Amino acid sequence: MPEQTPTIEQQFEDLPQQYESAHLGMWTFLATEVLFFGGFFISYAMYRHFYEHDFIVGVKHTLILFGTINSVLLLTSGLTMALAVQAAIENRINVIVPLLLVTIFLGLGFLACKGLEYRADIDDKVVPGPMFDPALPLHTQIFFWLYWGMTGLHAVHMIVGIGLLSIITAMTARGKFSAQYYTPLELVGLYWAFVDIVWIFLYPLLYLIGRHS
Amino acid sequence: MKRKLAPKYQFIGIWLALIIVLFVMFGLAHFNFAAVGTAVILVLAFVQMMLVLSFFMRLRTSPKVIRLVACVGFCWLLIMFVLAFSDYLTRQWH
Repeated sequence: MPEQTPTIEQQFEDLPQQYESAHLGMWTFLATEVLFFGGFFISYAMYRHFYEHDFIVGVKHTLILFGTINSVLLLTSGLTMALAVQAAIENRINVIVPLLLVTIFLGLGFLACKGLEYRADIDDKVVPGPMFDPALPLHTQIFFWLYWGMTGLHAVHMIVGIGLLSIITAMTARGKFSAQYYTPLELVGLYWAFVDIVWIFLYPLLYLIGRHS
Repeated sequence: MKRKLAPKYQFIGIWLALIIVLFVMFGLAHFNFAAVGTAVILVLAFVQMMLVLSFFMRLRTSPKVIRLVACVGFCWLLIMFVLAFSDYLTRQWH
């Protein structure tokens, strides 16, 4: 495998500056992502404040088993991603591809589990609109509107993440990275961990809080 | 670029901690602690987030400017929360 040495682009003084700029850009993008999801989180907080009882009915209707399995899958994929970046830092290039493939596999497992859950949700008639279960309180529809919106937006991020991971895996397999240069790998790792963090909050808000009150 | 190496089993340890916290949250949700339970579960989610940010996203060993930008993202969210709530909670809603 050829050893990759990074080139310094003309706008940068040296490699550390180039490296830091790439990370700064990624973190700035993640800050906008925080606000992107933030709109949903604020809506959730506000409506939960006004319709606490109806929201608790909603939480009791989400399928906690699927949610918990997905939490384990996603946290584990966060581990394999972090290990892949660590392997690049330590120049153990040959273990990066297997770790990335496991990460992709866990991500696909998450989406498959989510798909099964959505199917069960549709059978439970918790899709807001004319088909919504009339036995449930009126404002539980708002909870489920947020449920579909938040988990849907998260799932879109997962699909994008899996796409990025696939590209990075192909780049690694073609020998594009070494201990001297692995910035794209690390940036995709940051994105993946961010998607992990969003789920860390979705899980208690949609499945746990108020379940046994 | 030379980077700090993480101790060998650090990531496995962090992952174990994340899973343990997850199941503590899962357990807490099955008992009725009312508002205290809600607060504890949210604090535990925050702990999980900090573990992912510090270790999986390597903020602990990142340059100060990167850590600052990471914090700013969450500060903006906090400002958005404060402003939104200061409006809605002071309206004559009903």
